[in-house]
Amino acid sequence: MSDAGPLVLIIDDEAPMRRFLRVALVAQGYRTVEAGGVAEGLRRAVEHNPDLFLLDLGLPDGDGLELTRQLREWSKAPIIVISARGQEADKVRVLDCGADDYLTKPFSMGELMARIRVALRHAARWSPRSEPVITFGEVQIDLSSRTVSRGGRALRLTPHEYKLLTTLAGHAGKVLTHRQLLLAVWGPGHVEQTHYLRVYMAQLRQKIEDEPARPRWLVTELGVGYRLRGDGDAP
Amino acid sequence: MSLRAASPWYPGDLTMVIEARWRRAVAGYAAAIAAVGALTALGVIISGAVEPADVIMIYLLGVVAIAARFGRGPAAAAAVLSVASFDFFLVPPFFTLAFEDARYAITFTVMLGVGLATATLMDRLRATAEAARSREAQTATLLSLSRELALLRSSPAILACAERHIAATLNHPVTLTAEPNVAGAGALSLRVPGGPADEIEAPALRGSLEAMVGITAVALQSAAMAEEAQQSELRARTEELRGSLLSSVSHDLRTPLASITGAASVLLQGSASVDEQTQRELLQMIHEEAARLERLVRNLLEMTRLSAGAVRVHKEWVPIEEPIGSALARAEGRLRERPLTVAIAEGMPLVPLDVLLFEQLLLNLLENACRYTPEGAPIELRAATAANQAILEIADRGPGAPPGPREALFERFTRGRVGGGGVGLGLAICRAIAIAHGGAITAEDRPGGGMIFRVTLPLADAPPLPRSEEGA
Repeated sequence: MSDAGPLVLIIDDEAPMRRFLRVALVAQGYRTVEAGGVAEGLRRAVEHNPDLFLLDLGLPDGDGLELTRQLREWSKAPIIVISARGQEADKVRVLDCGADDYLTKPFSMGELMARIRVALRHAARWSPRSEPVITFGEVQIDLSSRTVSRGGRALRLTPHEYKLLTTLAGHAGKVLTHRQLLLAVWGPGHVEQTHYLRVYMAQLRQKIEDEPARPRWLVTELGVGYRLRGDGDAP
Repeated sequence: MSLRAASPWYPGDLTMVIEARWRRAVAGYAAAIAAVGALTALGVIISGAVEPADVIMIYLLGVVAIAARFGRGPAAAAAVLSVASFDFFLVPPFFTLAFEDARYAITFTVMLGVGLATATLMDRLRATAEAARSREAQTATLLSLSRELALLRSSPAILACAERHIAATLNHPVTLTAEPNVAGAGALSLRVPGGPADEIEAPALRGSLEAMVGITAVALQSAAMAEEAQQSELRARTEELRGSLLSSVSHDLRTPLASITGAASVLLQGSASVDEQTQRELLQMIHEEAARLERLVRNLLEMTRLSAGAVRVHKEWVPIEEPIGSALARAEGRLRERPLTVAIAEGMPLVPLDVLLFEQLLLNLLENACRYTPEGAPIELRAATAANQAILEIADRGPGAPPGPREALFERFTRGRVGGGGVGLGLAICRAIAIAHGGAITAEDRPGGGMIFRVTLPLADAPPLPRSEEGA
């Protein structure tokens, strides 16, 4: 990437964390702007109109949720939330509110870069995935004929399993919350029925994964949702 | 009106706001008039066929019935009315209170006397029977109240329970409020808006109310004391934990920090004597030691949260594969060189568990297995159900734990072996999480060498699942 690489706004109150992120991002060809809190973050966002936000959830001067809401009023740039373990409920709220993905501290460079790549790729695509065939590993989803095959053999999926798989595949590499998936597959009447989703996910893994208890593609984001790991998105 | 509650700790006022109830008395007098009217009509019809003395008997029967049903006042009224009606309608000259035969003076006096005496006797009988019945009911109420109160620990629950019982006794809604003041004492007040005054004034019921309020006061006091005892025990345990944490942890925190600082300072000097391979080794060490510190701090925080009771178990219906898969993914770095088999029983039902806490439990067991067994030693993970319990086992082929009781492994700051690199919190956390789920964790020696850690969790009726669909 040239010196016109994507601009990332880092909103984190911890200076060492900001420094680590800046060094890591600049080394990969990104440009960075930094802010130490909610108010400064909003100001910098308006000034620079960044291509991506890295937002720490534990900011001292305000709520990451509120900031996400305000950013979403005018910016479509992806927001990746950085949080500590144990903040799952906050993460889910921010994701349901318009954030795109999250990273749990401590994370590696590889994970950070993979998340940023996925987020930017999804942001660049204005319309839903247009190519009729999605492939990951041995699995192939043909959207035009509504068929799924694994290693060349056709798989029998129920309508809900198919919907679940295609929803995840349409956002490959990106986390989808339980609520988002329930809404997409079962509709607004079932957003609290998390165990439906879990049961269907287990069935889908039985059909798609070599070792369902150690899934390679349909990854659980515990307490948050699920993610389909796209080809090349592995950290 | 106020009642004194029979409790040394709650010497409160029992206040009752009552509106006298007239309706019932009015109904009694109306019934007396109606009964006398009806009997008079009957008397007029049959007077040709029977002696006047028989008609008097019919009147007396009416007085007895009114006395039995409505008490003394209406019965006395019925007696007087009977005499008057008898004279007016059935004794010549008719339709006047005058009478010709002087013998009727005696008849009327006797009739009035017998009527009034019957009224008094019946009323007394009725009162005695009613008192016996209500005493029995009150004793039963008191018993069930004290039994229920013995199970309750919070003041609002105790007050609500007492309110329910008192309301049932009075057959009228009541409010019971406690206003605590200094030194644990307080006032209990009972309000009965628009309640039946005559009944509450009755000594038997009043005594029973006092007893109920007294029992409630004692229950409130013991709940307050129990809460205080629990608080101070929690404080003491937190203190104890803090003390042992400091002494045990300071060493474990300092060691990795010293390695990191040392390695970083060497790298910063950029001395020519440090070749590229050594630099890489130092960086690797910094990375590993920092990861170790992270695990340590995470375990410390988790243990502190668990033992302070700050953790709320948020159970959800989950396929057991899900937390297992997630824990295996998180432990991937440490498991990379390990032969690992996962066996989940066919048809395993959904298990009610807190996914995040349970993942932590699994992760600690896996890290434990990695830490205390030689590299390359296999690890097995099994899940099954038996006797309405979910059973999860992690078995290794390591050297096993040193001799001694196996439960001791789960105590805080107990290390399987010196030099393992942990603080001895991992298994204590596992036990706390298992207990928080209403389950248990045990360790035993594995036949043929190694250890088996077994977690059991209670199963319950699973929630309704979506209807199965036709294949697409």
